[in-house]
Amino acid sequence: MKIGNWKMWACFALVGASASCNTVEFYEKGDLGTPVMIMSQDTGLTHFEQKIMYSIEGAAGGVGAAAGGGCGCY
Amino acid sequence: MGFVLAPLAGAQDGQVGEPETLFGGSNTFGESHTDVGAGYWSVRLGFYDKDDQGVGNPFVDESVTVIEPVITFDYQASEDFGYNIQLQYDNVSSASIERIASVPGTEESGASGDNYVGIAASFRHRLSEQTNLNWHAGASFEYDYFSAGLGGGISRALEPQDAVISANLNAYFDSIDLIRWDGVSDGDDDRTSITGSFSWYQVLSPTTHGEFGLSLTSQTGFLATPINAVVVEDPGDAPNPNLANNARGTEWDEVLPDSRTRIALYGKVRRSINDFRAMELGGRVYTDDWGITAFDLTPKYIQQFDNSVLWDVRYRYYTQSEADAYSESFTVDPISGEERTQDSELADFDSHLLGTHVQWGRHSQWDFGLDYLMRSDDLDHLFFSFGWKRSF
Repeated sequence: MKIGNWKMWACFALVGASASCNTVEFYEKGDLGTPVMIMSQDTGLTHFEQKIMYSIEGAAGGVGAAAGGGCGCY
Repeated sequence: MGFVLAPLAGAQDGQVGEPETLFGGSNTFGESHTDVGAGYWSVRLGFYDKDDQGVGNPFVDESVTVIEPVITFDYQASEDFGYNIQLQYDNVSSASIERIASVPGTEESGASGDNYVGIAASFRHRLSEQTNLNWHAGASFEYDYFSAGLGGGISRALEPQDAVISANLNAYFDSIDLIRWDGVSDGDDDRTSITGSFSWYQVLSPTTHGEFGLSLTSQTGFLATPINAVVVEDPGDAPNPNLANNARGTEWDEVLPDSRTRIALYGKVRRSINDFRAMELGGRVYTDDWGITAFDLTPKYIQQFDNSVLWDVRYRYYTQSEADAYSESFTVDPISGEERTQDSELADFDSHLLGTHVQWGRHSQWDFGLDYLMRSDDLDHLFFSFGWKRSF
């Protein structure tokens, strides 16, 4: 086993990190599907909010956002 | 704009139950439907206003008003393929555009406002029960600006771990006419922005799920704002009619580095209180090689009043440090090429945002959102949007 095999270590890190989370049984997940638990939102609203924040703040990038491009400056 | 991956299943439709579903996160472009032939039309009207009453940059009126309609069509053509098309238009009225328009004898002197038109199309493919592929293309235009965007990503459900991991790559290629603060055209230039991101959606408990991610952006090319100027103050100068309050000083072009690397680490966790109430906490840490470090934290409360009314209220705290090239005041003529800016978006400030959003209706759905942002430099912002969505 070569220590320099980055793919193997990446797999270990990925599987290890995800496996460390508690598994929730399928019949316990009903609460996660209620309307108040839906984290995504209308794409038109996302576009509007991101464009505003991009023009207001010096920082860009994060949830749902590509930092830079696609927007002229006001 | 951020176009990333759709969630793996129909969380958008708000159905309760579906326990086998991994609900996915908010890194979404296009929406996922379980039913072939399902989709929606939506129309949104956004309004954004920044009122500069002598605050922010003391030499320049930074007022701006934007009215933005967005039309979206989304359709699930087959079990394995769906698409989303979006048209965007902005009507921009700003003090900066008025300044340019008032300069006689320049090719832009007729511009009384700025019109932005954008189109974006996104396509989603289900490759297997666990794997989705998304890609998108788009373009946007303004009188002094053109941008083409292209990107894609892949997401994979890790079923035993109740997780969805996504990797995305987005690129924007922009071309800019360099119309300076004095209305004079200075040729054209371009910039390229490439963002790679990795996100992780995770079911944390029967009542809690969250999303975490990292995005890395590299930008090269012309990254300054051509209409921005830096004012070098000199009490010996005559009053300058182009500056606010006829200040005594001389304008110089803004100069910023021609490359920028940005890193953002972000996450949010939502917890169900009961079937009709939930809490969310989101946050982000950001840094770039221009010297800006930023942090934000957003708690949010969500409540469903009956089967068709969903309401949320949020607060967002944001703080950033200033860019290395930023200074509030310049008193010495800069050396040629020396990096300099007085752009208040690159200054040191913090802000508090209060916002609320209400959504009602089922197949024909309406929503209204209102936000007010208060900055420490008193450059406050108001924005709201009104949307209608018809599902079929």
